[in-house]
Amino acid sequence: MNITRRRFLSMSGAIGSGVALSSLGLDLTALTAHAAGLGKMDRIRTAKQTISICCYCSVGCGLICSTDRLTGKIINIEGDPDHPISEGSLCSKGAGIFGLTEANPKRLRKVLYRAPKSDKWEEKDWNWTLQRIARLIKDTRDADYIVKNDKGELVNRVETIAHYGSSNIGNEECWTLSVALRALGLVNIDHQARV
Amino acid sequence: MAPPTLGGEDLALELEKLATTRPHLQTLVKAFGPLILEKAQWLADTAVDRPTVAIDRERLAAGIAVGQQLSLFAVSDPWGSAGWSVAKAITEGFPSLGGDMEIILRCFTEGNYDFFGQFFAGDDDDAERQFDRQAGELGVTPMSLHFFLRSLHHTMLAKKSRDLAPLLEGLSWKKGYCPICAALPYVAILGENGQRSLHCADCGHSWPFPRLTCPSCEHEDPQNSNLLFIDECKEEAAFFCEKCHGYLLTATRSAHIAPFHPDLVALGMVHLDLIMQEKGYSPMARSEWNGFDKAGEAQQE
Repeated sequence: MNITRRRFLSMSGAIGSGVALSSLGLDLTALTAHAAGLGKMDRIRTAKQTISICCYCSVGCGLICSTDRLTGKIINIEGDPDHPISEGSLCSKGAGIFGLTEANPKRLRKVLYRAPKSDKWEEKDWNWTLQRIARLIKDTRDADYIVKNDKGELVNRVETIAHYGSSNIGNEECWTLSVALRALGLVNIDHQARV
Repeated sequence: MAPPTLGGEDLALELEKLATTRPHLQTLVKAFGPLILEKAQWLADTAVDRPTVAIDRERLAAGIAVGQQLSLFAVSDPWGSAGWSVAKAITEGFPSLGGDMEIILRCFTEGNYDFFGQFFAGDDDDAERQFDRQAGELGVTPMSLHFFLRSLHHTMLAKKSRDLAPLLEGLSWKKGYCPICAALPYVAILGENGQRSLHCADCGHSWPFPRLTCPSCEHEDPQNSNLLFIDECKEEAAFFCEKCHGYLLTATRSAHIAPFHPDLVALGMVHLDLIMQEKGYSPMARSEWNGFDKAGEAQQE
């Protein structure tokens, strides 16, 4: 004798509703106090989960970003296990992508400048900083610009300035930088992620 | 290969640890611990019956679970030992039900009551109505009988799940309900690479399921896929869906680093059950211990 499928579903439905804890005579005071305490101490958080793509390279690994629904700030980023390419895996750069967010307490928030031969960092504003960088680049480029090489071939390049890309710049930023740097004539261009 | 799970003495130790490290759970661990331990022990002591049936792969791929294709239970299943084991565990965990369990145990010992025939193979389509009638005949409360039958049903389903699992290997299952018994999950585990495994509330079978899809309504909009967690404890959360207002306890665990038992994982997060139900969400499936009928009422006690 076997149970019929109809009976199985009827049984599952009838007993699926379970038994209320209160009817089992359990004292839930400690549990309810604990849950209430978490609420009173404002420790309950809710987050929205959205999918995104890692910004770093052309592989395009999938990410799941959790955003605090109260503050709107990202609280976690992890690999997306359902992404067809990366299946949840991330390289060391991708795994550290949460460090790019403002939740990272060590992230620089102001420009720091250390003058030649100084052992101290000074805070500077962006106007001063951008002008200083532009001035140094312009002066160096003007002084060292090479129009033709030893063979008389047209090269239009600067060999005395190098650019080293940060590991924290994404695909589109890398492309923009690359175009801008080549427009200046730079040939020594590298990226941390290649190392 | 299935990840290692806790059993035997390790399971008992983990239960003790849970009660020690989370004192608010002591009552529930004391009550439900014997059921968890007995079920694990009964499964370990019961022989594996290799399935002799074939699953219709096309129907499975279409979302028709094994239990909807085949008869899962048979009179030849070890109902006696399972019933004995369940009644013993309930007596230990719930002394107030001891009298009723004694009557039920006597039925098994004396063999004068056909539990299988009355409940699992009965012809009354309204099983709930039948509970009340049979409880009166047995001389136990309907609640005791309900609790006993639910636990017995889950214990036997766990055996069926274990025995039938090899048939499902390599087969695709994309639904949020269990491929064995069609019940919804009571807990999800985020394992290696964050892959989400759902654990069936009735038979304990586990299967992979997309992270941002609601297992209950299969809604996929990330805007409605949310997590509730306690600050500084992000590895334990409740996934909740704004569309169907269901929630699912979700924990990050690696079985290869530390074997776990899904019942203990879910029991350890029961405070999240309470919080979610107070917020008006419903568990996707009722576990043995998440039945807060009126969460607000429980607060006032």
